[in-house]
Amino acid sequence: MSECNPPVEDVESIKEGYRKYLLRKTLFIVGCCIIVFALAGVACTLGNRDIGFLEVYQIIWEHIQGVSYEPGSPEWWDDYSVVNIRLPRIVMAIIAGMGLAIGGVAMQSIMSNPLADPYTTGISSGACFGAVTALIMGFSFSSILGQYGIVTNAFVCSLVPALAMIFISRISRTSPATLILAGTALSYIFNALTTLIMITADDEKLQTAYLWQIGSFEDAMWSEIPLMLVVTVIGSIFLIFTANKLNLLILGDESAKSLGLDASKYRTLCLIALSVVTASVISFTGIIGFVGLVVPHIVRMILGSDNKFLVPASMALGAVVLLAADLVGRTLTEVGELPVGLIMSFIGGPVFLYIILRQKKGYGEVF
Amino acid sequence: MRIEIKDLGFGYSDIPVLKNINLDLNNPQFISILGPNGVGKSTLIHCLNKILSPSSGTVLVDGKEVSEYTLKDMAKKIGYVPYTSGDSFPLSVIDTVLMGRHPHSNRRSNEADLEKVYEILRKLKMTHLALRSFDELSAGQHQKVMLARGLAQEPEILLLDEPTSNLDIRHQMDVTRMLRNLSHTQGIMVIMISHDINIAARYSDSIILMKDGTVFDVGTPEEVLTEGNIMEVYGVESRIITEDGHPHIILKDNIPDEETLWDPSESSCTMPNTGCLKG
Repeated sequence: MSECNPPVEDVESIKEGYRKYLLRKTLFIVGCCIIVFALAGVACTLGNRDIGFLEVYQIIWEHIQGVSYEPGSPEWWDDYSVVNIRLPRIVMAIIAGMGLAIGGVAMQSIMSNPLADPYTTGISSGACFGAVTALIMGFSFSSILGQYGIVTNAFVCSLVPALAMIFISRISRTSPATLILAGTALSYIFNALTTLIMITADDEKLQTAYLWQIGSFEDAMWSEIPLMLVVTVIGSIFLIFTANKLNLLILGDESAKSLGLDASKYRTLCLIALSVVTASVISFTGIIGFVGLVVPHIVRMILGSDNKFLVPASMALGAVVLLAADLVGRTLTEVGELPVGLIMSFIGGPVFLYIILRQKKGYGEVF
Repeated sequence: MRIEIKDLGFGYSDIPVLKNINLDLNNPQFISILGPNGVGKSTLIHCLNKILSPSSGTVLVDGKEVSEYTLKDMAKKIGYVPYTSGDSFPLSVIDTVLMGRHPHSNRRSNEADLEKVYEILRKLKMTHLALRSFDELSAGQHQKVMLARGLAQEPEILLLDEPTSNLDIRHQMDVTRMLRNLSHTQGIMVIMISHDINIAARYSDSIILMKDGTVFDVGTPEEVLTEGNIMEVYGVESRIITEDGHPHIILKDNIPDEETLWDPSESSCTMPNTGCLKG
């Protein structure tokens, strides 16, 4: 092959090619959004009352327009069960999917490591520890006990390892590898503390504590949505608008600096953003594995690694994946439903394995 | 454009890497930095564009101290082409080069930035690679993409850390000639770290020869590349002949390894295979 006389391609055709290339990426995101919309409709048909697929949208649309019904009438019940019972769960699945997926994108970029996920800082172990202290020991950071006590505890405790990581990344000239190892160490410490508390608990509490850890959208309520929503929206806006900086960060600190980015400052900002987003999601849902790890990889395989598209596309696909997994979990067995965290690992694992092995080329290899 | 380096010193924790560097570099020209491994070549260029902060002494770029530049302003003035590009997540060539526009862009890349990228790709005759993924390219194409990214910064000064490593002789010459032409036609000061004395001698306007963290000699290739200097700096016996107006180095035999490589008074980085800091 000769590079001396490369095939001449005029700039116009390259421009056209690049435009198409961007269009493909945009279409993928739009496609995912449409799927989310459709899946949400399907999920809304599940429940005691028999409401059809298209009817669901009509009910929601009318609700938004402020149409009211006589309390107790069939229309009122339809409206009530779709909007107040079914929709919160769906909205929560969408937000959790978006939040965990951008957490994964950001962490993988910060660590320049394909194995990183939103929990690499040990954030999930912290959340478990917080929830378990509330459930078993009855200790809470907030004055309210019960559901919100657990959420507050999980949120506060999950930020402890994240803050420790931010601190570690600030005080020393650390490489991504050091950060990953530090995160692993922090995870072990918090897991040990959780185990310590759990071995003292009685059977019933033990089961509750254990079940909390498996992520689920069951019993989602509107009152749980605002915090997740606001934090996830702020976090994603931050990442979407600084996506080109995230690209620079992957090049390493030297190159990032030479291109005008204060790498360590930006890394800290990203760590803060993704920690708060992840913490706000998992303290309501419990630990949902795999989305944060897998979704960014699937998007990279389809769209490439440009964070300008990777961030929004991962958000969209994350929502699709969690909504679909929750749907499967609810419809798979007649008896009851399986938690989404379990489904994710069960289906997500083999699917991801298949995708990796099908790739002809090694992932992210540079020669 | 002017780079003034006064009494520059730099150390990684307690180990001094650079000491008493004094240089005054002016005008668009093609400068090569030569010297053995671990002598502080990369450290020196990293001190020029804020990747590292000097431990002592000052570096002035166009009369202003380097520490007073913001990273962004620095990136507009000085482009940098790294030795390797750690790309765990490769982008397309266009997107890679587009990153060079970062210091100039506000928020997101706009059409004007893309136009600049197309223009650079056209000049470097790489338009056929534009939509390929960075990890699908050969070593030579990698170097060119990195160079394109450096040029996209539209710098007045371009620093390159061994841009010709991993290249065969033909590509080494192509890249080096391209760099010299760039400095002459675009009016950029190009500073390149190199290990190939003959290629540096052929194309460079000036050569900086480094030894043990100091500048051993500066001048035109004819002035710097003498048998004595090469013996002194590399510990290699050689003969210099002049052909086409350029000095050519013919290598004789090494003086025994033990004397140069295992001298305990040398800095730790002269030992082979110890994984010490490069450059």
